[in-house]
Amino acid sequence: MAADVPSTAGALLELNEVHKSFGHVDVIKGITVRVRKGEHVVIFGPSGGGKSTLLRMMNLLEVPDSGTLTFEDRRYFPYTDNVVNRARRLQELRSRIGMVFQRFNLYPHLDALHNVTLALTDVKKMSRRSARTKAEASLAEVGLKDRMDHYPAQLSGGQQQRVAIARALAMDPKLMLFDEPTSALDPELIGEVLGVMERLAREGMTMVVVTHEMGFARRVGDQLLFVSGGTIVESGGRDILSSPQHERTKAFLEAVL
Amino acid sequence: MSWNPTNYQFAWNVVYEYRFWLLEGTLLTLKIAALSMALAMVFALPLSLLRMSRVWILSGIAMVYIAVLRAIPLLVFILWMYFGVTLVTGLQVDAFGAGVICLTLQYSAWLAEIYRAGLQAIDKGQREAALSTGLSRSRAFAKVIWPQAWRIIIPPLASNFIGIIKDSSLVGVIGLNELMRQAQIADSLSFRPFELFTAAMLIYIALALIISPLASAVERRAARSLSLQTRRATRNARSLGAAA
Repeated sequence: MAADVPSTAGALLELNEVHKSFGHVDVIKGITVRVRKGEHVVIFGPSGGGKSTLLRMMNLLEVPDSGTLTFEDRRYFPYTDNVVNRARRLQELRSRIGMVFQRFNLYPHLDALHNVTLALTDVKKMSRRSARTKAEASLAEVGLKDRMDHYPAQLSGGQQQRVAIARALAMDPKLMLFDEPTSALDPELIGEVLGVMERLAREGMTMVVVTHEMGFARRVGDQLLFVSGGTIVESGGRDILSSPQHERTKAFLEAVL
Repeated sequence: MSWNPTNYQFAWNVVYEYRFWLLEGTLLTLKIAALSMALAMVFALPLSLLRMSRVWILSGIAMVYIAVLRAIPLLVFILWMYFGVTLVTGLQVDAFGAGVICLTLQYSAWLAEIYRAGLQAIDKGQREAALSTGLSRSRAFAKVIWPQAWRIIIPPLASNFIGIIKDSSLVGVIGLNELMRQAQIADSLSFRPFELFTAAMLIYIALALIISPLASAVERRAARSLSLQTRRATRNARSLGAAA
């Protein structure tokens, strides 16, 4: 068993002083992030700055070189278990954290319904019938109940991303991670995905969103992090968008707004 | 009359005369080929996974195995497996077993590379999506990666099955009476090589021509079983809706 650590100021998830390098390139140079329950964290910044890597560390799709990851007051990194238990712990962590990817990553050989039910039957060991009911409810939540027998190839980009959101939501996650969820979408399809995300936020879902949609950040973000060069250059509430303190934040915002 | 500069008289009736020999040979050919193919398909999967291992010593071993087994001339391999092993160990090897082992080992090397190509064609994001919902690595492979790779793999598998049928003619040298050897024996009795070898060739071609549509059928089924599931699901949904 991993040691359970005392809670740090009610944080649902905490990355503490994480580092990560790919070969000789330091992608993350010592970042600490706290995500409180119900909070909406928006990470923005230039490409290659480490935003996605930082997000992917939160469910250990990317394993830090050093630092710690705590979720629901339990330490998930550094690993303290043997290999078998470690795999189980990873599954436990990931089944409680939903993730939505830039390129949807729906399973092309399964229709929308079975994209959603797979983890329900496989990880949560639900019966086919209750998995189905659950998946239908999830798909209804993103407005796609009538598309559940469609394969990903038969859906628009926006619909695919909504199915991907439903797939994550069906697991009843405590936290949702969004990795540039609208960057691969045609402009006219961005709204439907952001709409779903904003409703989730209003309903109190804790989420961390990497995005270039500064409008979304302004409407939804509680904690905004400007990440560049592998560090958090500036962080704060929505006001950092209107009155950034740091030169690099100013320059970035001027370029994108 | 007809153009016949050498005055050779074809006697196609020998084919009819030896039809049961050829049939027997065909059946053994199919038996050897099908068994070797099935075993190679099973054996190739762990081999391709080893080949893709991030542990360099494992992928190294698999790489060398694949490179060597693909390079060995099958005929020499078969002779060694049958006579060589007996010479070295004194143990008498079963000819059928030796033939199947050689075909299996060589084809597992080919198939492992085909599997690898199929598996590597699947986007990394598929695995990440599966892992991110809490699936274990092995379940992600079984439910997400493999079903997609399988469809890519089927056509080259069919080509290799045709290849293994033709290569199985080499096990005749260790006394297995497969199709080619049956034709040779019949020739040694009737002195009618062209007729008999032509007949054997036509049988090989026929077998190959049967396999292509079979493979297409398997491919279609791989796709259809999913759409059937969907149709059933839709029907269930409708009847549930009607009941409610």
